[in-house]
Amino acid sequence: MQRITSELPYLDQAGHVYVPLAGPARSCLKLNRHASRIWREALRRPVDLEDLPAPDRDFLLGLTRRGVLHTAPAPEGG
Amino acid sequence: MGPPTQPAIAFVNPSVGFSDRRKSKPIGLAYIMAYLEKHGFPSSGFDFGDSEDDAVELAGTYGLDRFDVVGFSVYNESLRAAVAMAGWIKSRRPDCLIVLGGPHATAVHEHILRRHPCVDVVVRREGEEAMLELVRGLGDRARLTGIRGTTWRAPDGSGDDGSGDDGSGDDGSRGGGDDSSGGTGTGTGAVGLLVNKDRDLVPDLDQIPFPDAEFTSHSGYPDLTYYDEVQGRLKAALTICSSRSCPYNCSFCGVLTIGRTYRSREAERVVAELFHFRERHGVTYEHVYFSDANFFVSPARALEVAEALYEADPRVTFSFGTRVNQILKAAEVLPRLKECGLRFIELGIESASEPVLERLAKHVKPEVNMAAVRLLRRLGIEISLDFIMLDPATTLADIRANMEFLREAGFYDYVPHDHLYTALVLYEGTPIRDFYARRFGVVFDPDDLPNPFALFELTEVQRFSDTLRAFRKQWQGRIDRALAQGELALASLGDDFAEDGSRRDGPPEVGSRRAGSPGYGEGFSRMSHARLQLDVVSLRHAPNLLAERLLTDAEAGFPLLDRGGLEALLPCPGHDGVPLHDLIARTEAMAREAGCARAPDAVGPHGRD
Ligand code: B12
Ligand code: SF4
Repeated sequence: MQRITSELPYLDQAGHVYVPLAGPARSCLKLNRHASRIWREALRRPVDLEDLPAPDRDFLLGLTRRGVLHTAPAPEGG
Repeated sequence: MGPPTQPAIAFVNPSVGFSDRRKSKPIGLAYIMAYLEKHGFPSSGFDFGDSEDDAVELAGTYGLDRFDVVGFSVYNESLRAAVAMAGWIKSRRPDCLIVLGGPHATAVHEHILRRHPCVDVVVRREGEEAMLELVRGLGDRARLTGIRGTTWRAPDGSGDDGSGDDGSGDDGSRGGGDDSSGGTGTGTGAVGLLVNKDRDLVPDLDQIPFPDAEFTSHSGYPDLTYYDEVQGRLKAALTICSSRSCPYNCSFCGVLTIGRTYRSREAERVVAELFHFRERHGVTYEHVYFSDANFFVSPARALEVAEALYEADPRVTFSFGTRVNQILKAAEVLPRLKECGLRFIELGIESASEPVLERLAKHVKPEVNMAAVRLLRRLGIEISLDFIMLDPATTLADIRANMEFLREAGFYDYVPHDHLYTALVLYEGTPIRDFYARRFGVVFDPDDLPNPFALFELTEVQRFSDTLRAFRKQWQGRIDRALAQGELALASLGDDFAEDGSRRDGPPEVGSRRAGSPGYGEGFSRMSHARLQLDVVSLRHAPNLLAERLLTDAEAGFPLLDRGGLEALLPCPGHDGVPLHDLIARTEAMAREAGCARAPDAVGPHGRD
């Protein structure tokens, strides 16, 4: 299980998640509805990335590679 | 003394008292002036369109009593100013021929002549040819009063003997307005008036000269510009009208009063007009705002125009207005238009409520609105939103549909916020005005534009609107200023980074997690940059969130508003849910910190006005 956190504060407002500095040329990235849902769920509680559908996992891993998200093994029971 | 062979002629765009749009030259008058000039009758133009000065004082300051003929372009909002100026001119120069034209004058031509003795004649619909006949024939008043497309007071009060028609236009236009019984051949409704037959609309728009005319204005003209985000630079822009009228029949539309026959110009003439004005003004115009009522009536023609512009100068970009169903019908043309420089479309969405769309005679369903928006987004074509949030019979359910649409379609991120505050304006000559006159059992005074914010049938909608307007008055200016400063700061920070996130003049730092990392100026950190981005998004959302909260409160019978007034409804947006006041202050402070704060009135780069 992985605990996923966001490096920077983000905004979840009006149905979308907005991620600062994550867009082209460090613009603010507005996630579409589906991606917003994935983001919310991934950050709410520890997730097993292997269990996610491939596109959703790739989306999260992509953000992790770019330093937007941090992943760390979740502590036991947590 | 007979009339001068070369009469002194003036055309005036009188004031509407304010303008909610960027000022630009009155195109209709410019067309008429250029047409007269070509036929040997030069004239002087005066544009007071957005002046807040007293109309009579303006007439005095600019010496409007120097002229033998003065023509006024009349909008609903500017009738009173036109009549005040005309009265002043007539009192000093009784032999001056006072001519009124334009959409409102066309709609209520008979009324104007009955009520305003200072007006000699109304030219209905398009003015080029009728105006030429008028100035050519000044010497022979009897002949003058027979010119097609004009309405006069009969000298002996006898009225129309049947030569006229009802002014409703043989092409189905809506001229005739309040007194449509007038001059149908029996003359009963038009006693005391001479309503001459309609004149044909200009058949070939390529046969008339470009609208090349100079205007003296109380305030000058700001340079018309367009900030092209793709090319990353501000461009000089020109307005071109490449077609007239529209084959649709929206019930609120003021364009159709002038005539319902759609006509368009050849692509090469449009290009020629761009180059004509480049040379004439010594300005390399690189963006064209098409002012056509509906540019996209024929997608094939739209493509021809776009390709011709692109071929002539590939740097040129353009934008136009159209309706949603046409976007979907011609979806296959849009990518090519984009390649040729299409940047944004002003989209007549108007409402997301089915009953309101029906009243407006849009003949589209809300799903079509959404589909058109999605398509344009997918293609990366910007949308400029035309929206009517409220009309007199609007219900809370209609407003709910509108808010849901704005949220779903991503318009919470959209600025300016004007669309949230719009209410339907009932222009003379439009079917929706007649619809509401019948529904309310009233006769609207043709000289007046009923206040659109005082006509609501439902008290809860009235209260919703009053509260929203109170919010606008107290908060919108502050939000706009903070947004401008924040956006400007972000734009300048953004300029320092390349697409991949690397510092343009330094080593790449993708994924850097350190606050205060290289790439930021003194005292401004990566964290501040991130927060400023989020706060700017929140400020864009704030008026929408307020409207949403207000609507929810209205649906519950206004418990919050009753208890705590507007304060109780203010949203606490942002990643940390701060009160609006603090969000504004914080954005301004951060923009200052980023070194980009500006004077309060300064605005950042923007697409269009
Ligand atoms: C571009 C535009 C603007 C521009 C430029 C304004 C301008 N005066 O040209 C800007 C952004 C500044 C603007 C502002 C406003 N606009 Co505007 N605008 C338009 C738009 C989209 C195109 C105008 C155009 O290019 N027309 C093409 C020319 C050839 O047609 P025309 O202007 O009708 O002129 C012909 C005839 O009307 C007639 N004519 C006109 N004046 C005269 C005068 C005389 C003496 C004679 C003989 C004939 C005559 O002859 C002309 C040539 O054939 C029209 C919609 C449209 N497509 O027409 C709305 C439209 C004209 N605007 C409208 C309105 C309401 C406004 C504002 C009042 C909005 C506001 N609240 O601020 C202001 C008023 C500004 C002012 N007093 O100058 C309404 C008018 C409705 C009405 N019945 O009053 C229209 C019809 C849109 C609508 N809502 O339905 N506008
Ligand atoms: S589509 Fe636009 S121009 Fe045409 S009738 Fe409707 S509102 Fe008027």
